Amino acid sequence: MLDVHPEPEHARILVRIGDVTREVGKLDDTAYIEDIHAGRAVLASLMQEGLFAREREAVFEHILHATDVDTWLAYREERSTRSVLDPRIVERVRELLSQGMGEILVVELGYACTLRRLSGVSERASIEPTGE
Amino acid sequence: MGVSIDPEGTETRILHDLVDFRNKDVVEVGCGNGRMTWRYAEQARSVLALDPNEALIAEAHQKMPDAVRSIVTFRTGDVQSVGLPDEGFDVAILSWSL
Repeated sequence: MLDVHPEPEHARILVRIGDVTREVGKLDDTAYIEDIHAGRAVLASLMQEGLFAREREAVFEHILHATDVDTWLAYREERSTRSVLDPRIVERVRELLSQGMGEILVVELGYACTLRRLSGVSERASIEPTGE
Repeated sequence: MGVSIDPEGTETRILHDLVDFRNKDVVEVGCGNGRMTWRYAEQARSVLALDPNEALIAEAHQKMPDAVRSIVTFRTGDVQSVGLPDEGFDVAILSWSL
């Protein structure tokens, strides 16, 4: 199994103009972070029960690039994101981008790991629904 | 003007570093609009990509590259609602959906 999910951290918002990149603030990803911790707890219990073993893992930057604020906001609206964006950050981004051609970077840390089902089940994974 | 996700290709490098997709039967849970699916599907033997969001699945169908049309099947639903093949899969991906 390959599990890819965000690290439980607030994504950083940066503005790059030419060679200069400035961090402007962070998204409030509290809603996602709570879910991530809950999901990780479930995976931890599966490993504790001896059903899966973590093999390899990696943390990486996962970056959204947006050319302008309105495009970025429209994208967020379209995706119905639960992260909260402070309007003061939006205004600061607009202010910076008004100084020259640039872009918005939203930097999220991603986490990926492979998990192997342990002996007692067939090598070929089947997804069995949980529940009552 | 627009939005691009991971033009650096970092996620793709990580995926292929961790998993050998060649000739594998893959199920991807939480595929969304297929954004991550395109990053590995060409190498797979088959991909069943699931997401409960019907609009995103429709978008995935619309955006599907010709190169993977014979490989990828998108379905609206999740592992509990979709009938999965008895023979199972080689790789299961939880795609930003933990």
